[in-house]
Formats: sequence, C-alpha cells, structure tokens
Amino acid sequence: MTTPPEGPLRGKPSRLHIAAVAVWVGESAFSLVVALVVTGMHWPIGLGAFTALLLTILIRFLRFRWRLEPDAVVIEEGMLIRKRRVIRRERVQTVDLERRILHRILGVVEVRIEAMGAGGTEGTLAAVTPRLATALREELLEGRQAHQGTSERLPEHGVPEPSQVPEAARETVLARATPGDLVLAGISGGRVGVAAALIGFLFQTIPETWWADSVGRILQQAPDPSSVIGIRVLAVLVVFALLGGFFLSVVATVFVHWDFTLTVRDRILGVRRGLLTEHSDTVSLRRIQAVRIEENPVRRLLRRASLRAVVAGRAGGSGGEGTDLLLPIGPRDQVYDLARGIMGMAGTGAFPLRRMPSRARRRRMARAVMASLAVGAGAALLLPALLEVRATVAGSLGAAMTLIPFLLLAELAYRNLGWAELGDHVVVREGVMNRRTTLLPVGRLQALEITQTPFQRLARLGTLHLRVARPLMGATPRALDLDRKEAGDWQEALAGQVVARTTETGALRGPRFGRS
Amino acid sequence: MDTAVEPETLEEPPRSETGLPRKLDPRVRTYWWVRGGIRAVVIAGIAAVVDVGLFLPRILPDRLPTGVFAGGVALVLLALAAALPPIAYARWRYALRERDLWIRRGILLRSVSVIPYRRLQFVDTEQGPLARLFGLAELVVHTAAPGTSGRVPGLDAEDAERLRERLAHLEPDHDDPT
Repeated sequence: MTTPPEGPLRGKPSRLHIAAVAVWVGESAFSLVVALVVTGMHWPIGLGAFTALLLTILIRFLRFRWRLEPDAVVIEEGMLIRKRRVIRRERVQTVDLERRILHRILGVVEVRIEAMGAGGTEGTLAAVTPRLATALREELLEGRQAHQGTSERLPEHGVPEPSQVPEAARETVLARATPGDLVLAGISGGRVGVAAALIGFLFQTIPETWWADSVGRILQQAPDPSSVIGIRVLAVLVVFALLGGFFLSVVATVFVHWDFTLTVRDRILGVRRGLLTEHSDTVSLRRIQAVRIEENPVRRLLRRASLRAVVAGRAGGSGGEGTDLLLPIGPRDQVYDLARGIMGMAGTGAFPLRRMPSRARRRRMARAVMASLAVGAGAALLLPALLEVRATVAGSLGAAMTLIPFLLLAELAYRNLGWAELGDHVVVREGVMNRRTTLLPVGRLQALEITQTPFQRLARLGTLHLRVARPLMGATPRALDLDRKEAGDWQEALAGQVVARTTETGALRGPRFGRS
Repeated sequence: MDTAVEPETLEEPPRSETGLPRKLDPRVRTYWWVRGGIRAVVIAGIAAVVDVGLFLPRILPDRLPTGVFAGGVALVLLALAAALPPIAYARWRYALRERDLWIRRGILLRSVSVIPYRRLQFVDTEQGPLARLFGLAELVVHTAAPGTSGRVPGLDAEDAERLRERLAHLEPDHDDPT
C-alpha cells in the first residue's frame, strides 16, 4: 500500500485503504454471528464461515480499483462479474464523508458520491485516508465549478452559475448547535415527545381501577385484589419502559446531531455532525430551492426553531422527508437570519407576513364543529356497546368534550397561515401544531397553480401552489386559503417575475450573513 | 378548429396578453363520451361478476335480486359518463400567452395553472388508440417540478404536433435582462 495519496486523483487506478477489509468484515460480523447462532455455536462451521467471508472480502478488496479521470470517477470491482461504474463529473451532486466507529479507530473515511438521476448513492469508497477523501471532494465539487457554463447547467434552474468570488474560498462557520440545545431538541422534538405527553395525559385522566378492570377482563381473570396488584406492577413497568424510550430518544438525538456545524465555502454548504458516527455532508447553494423553518409549540415557547433545505434532485440524506436538515435546533432569530442568508435575502429577523382573509378562519371553525359532531356521532354509536351509557348521553358528551379543543386547533391553524412577497422572495406559512415557514426566491418557481375545492369556492378562497424543483417526497410550498382574486393577481405577478428575474435570484448571488 | 372566447370571470387571463383563452377541440366531447362509456361498461362487467358471485349463491341472502347491483353501477357510471364531458368541455380553457401557458380546468376541484415557457424541460404529445380514431392528441409539458403540471387534452392531432414543435423550440433564456 505505497501508492502516493494523490495517485487515484491523477487517474492512476488505485485500491482502497487496507482498512476497507476491516470495515467490510465489521459490516458482515452481524450476519456471521447470526449464522453461528443458527448452526448452534458449532465452532468448526463458524471458523469455516469466517474464513470464507475473509477470503471473499480479500478478493473483493484486491479487485477493487478506483480513479478520478478528467471528466468522471471510475470504479471497477467484482469477483466473477466485473463491474465498471463511470460517474460523470457533471452528474455528481454531493460527496458525503462518513466515519463510523471502525473508521475512526482505523483512521479512515468512507466516501459516498451521489449523482443526479440515481436513486441513492452511486459510488461508495469504503475506506480511504481522510486527506485523500477531502482532496477528492474538493476536486469533484470545485473542479466542477471550473467547468461551469459548458456542461454544468442544471436543467431545473436553467441558469448558469455566476462567476466565482475568490474571497468565498475560505470555510466560514454559519451555525453550530450547542449540546444544551441538542438536549432540548431531543426533548421537544417530534413524535416521541408528543406520544409521551399523550400517554401521560391518559394515565392521569383515566382512573387506575379502570385499567385494572379492563386489563383483567382481557386476561379473563376475575378482578380480585391479587391480580389488581399484578396489573399495577405491570402499569408501572410500562411507564418506566416509556420513560426509558423517551430518554433513549433524547440521547439518540444528541448523539446523531452532536457538534452539528453548518459551514459555507465556495457556495457549498457543509454539514458536520455525529458523536459515534461522524458525518460530513455537502449541498451546493445552487441546488437549494427553498428553505423551511420549523417551529413546534414547545420550541416556540423556548424561542427555538429548526431549519431545513428543499434540495432539487435528491431525497434528503439527513432530512428523511425530502429535505436536508441544515440546523436541528437553534435560537429563533439566528435561524431566521440564516434562512435569509442562504436564500440571499436582505434584512434580519422574522418575516412580516400578511394574514389570510377571515373567511379562512370561519372555514376552519366550521370544519372543527363538523369534526366534533362526527366524534359525537361515533361515540353515540360505539360507546353504548362497551359501557353502560345511553347513546344520547355518549353522543353529546363526545361532541361537547371535543368542541373546545377542535376550535382552538382551528384558531391555531388559521393564525399560523400567512404569506408575503418580499422583494425577490416569497414566504408562505402553514401548520397546526408544527408551524412551517417556507422561504423561496421567485426565480426558483417552476409553475404556479391555483386550486379550489367546492368549499373554498363557497368562501371565495383558493390555494396557490408554488411549484419548485423539489424531491418527489417533499411537499409543494403553498399559500393556503388566499382570497381567490388576490391569489389570481399574485399568480400573474409571480409568473411575470419568474421570467424577468430568472438570472437575478438571490440564492445565486451568494449568502449574505449578518452574524454567525 | 379552436375557438377564441371572450374573458368572462376573474379566472380568465388578462386581455392584454397576446393569446386569448381557447376552448378544446369540440370533438373531445365525443371522445370523452365514448371513453366514459367504455369505462362504464368494463366496470359494470366487473360489478356483474361480483353480483353473480355474491347474490346468486346466496352468500348475502335476502338482499338484492341478481342484476340490481350491477345494473345500478352501470346506470350511475353511464349517467356520469354522459353528463360530465359537456361540463368539463365548457370549463376547459387554455391560452398560449406571450411568456407562459395558461390552463384552466376542473369541475369540482377547480384549478388555474400558469407555466412559464422558460421553465419547460420537455414537451410531449400523447395519443392513445381511441384518441387516434378521433384525430385527437394530448399535449403534455414538463417542468423540473415533479408531477406533470400541464396537460392539454383534446387538441387536433396536427395542431398538437405544431404546438409541441413551437414550445420545444422556444429558446429558454433568450431575453435575459442583465
């Protein structure tokens, strides 16, 4: 293994770092253990399997060659069937680096090359030296920009990249999530918190004896004192299990996002994160179609928010929902400034949004009333079969108990709606509990569509869908329940601007960052 | 073939634009009628199989006499197939405006789309066997946003070809400011 580190970058076919063998063995260790267990720990069989595995991995290592050619990365591999994969440079979208625990012990990095049009990772280099990995990434992402204007014209934008700013070549840290904030993110984030709160609420409201009775009935035991005690123990265990799960999810959030650092360099955003497995991902500013600020009620109270990017072409690596996570949690003001900076929008702080007409509120209220009536009807039909209540009582109780919460949710949903056109940018906001504010440059719009359901038509409202080159899984940004006439005017105005401002969008002008 | 019509509501594109809204080719109604009829017959056929399978062997006794279920399905579908095409036709408008394609459609769920020509990635025409009998074709425009945002059915096949050629050869960035 004495190839000079830059060998493959100069077109010399090279092997991976020898550590790849260890990495591959580590990856197969689990199936090996399973195989051993299945064969009843019979050690000669285990030894045979291990030798066979080691041999295949060795051959795989010996057969693997990769090199960077002027216009493509070439990977050749395969034992019996030789595979040759050519990833053309202009199709490369991101080069992500990952270091799992074994990589870190052995001092190597895994490189994943993602390309346009491919569903996932197009090429993986299981282990190379960190120096080579960084050099390859820079070569692929920056060399690509040098070829700008000839082959590199992403169809979704239809705009060439403006000339490079030399001073942008240094890496700048834009944001960093603090450990305290990450714990907060774990506690306030997502489904686990909601589920735990719901279960806690259930445990508080429903009398213990009811649990004992019903579980007892399910177990087909008479609810005698001894079994009631047993069930109480069970209930306590369940609570502990839930608390444990909650705690674990907080720990997981902190581990996964540990030292989350967002940087910018040469118009490419970098995300580094992870305690046990280190990730280092990139996304080109040019590919970011929109950014989304997410605030759930807990985070709103704590003045925290998270930031995601809607990225063309790829279903987000770290986002899951067709978006890339740019910051899991951060102070609200900083997140808003960051969103503005990334989308090239002037000013600081939250966006001055316009409200939807009050007919949109009435529509939500009417829907809430209908929903609670439906709950009442459901209760009237189902409850008398289970409990000793009359249908009328169950029905009116069901409706009455849900009406106030539903109306509150409707009011919340209405208040979270908003829209604004701010210079070259459009902002839309929606969400019942989790408020999502989407910011996008007008130049990123692909098409504009107004839709109207029959109910919206009655209220003279319409929804304006702002179609961008988003990943398939993501949601289209939209302005829900605009006044129909206003929606039409806005649609026309925006369509005109799409044409006029294509080459002038803020996102292409480079980030302006007030503070970081 | 195409008939220019006057703007009538706020859903019409502004008059100042060059392309006035057009209706689809009138033949599309007949095409929709025939297509709807065929679909109704096929689905009613499936319903008839279910009908015979369920009610004849008395799996569901004391319910409906054989034939009522299938007949009901056929009636409803045929009624829809007969009633919807004229409404859809009356509602459909498209306009080739100076800088974008404007489409209005939808009976219950209404929509108005604006697709700037500069955002077109590729333009197709589609023609099924039935549409070919009527000499009709569908124009489909694709942007980088997923899901085809623009379909104009019921164009005269030759018109559709001409349109496709015209849209496909629009230089996307020809009038850049700067």
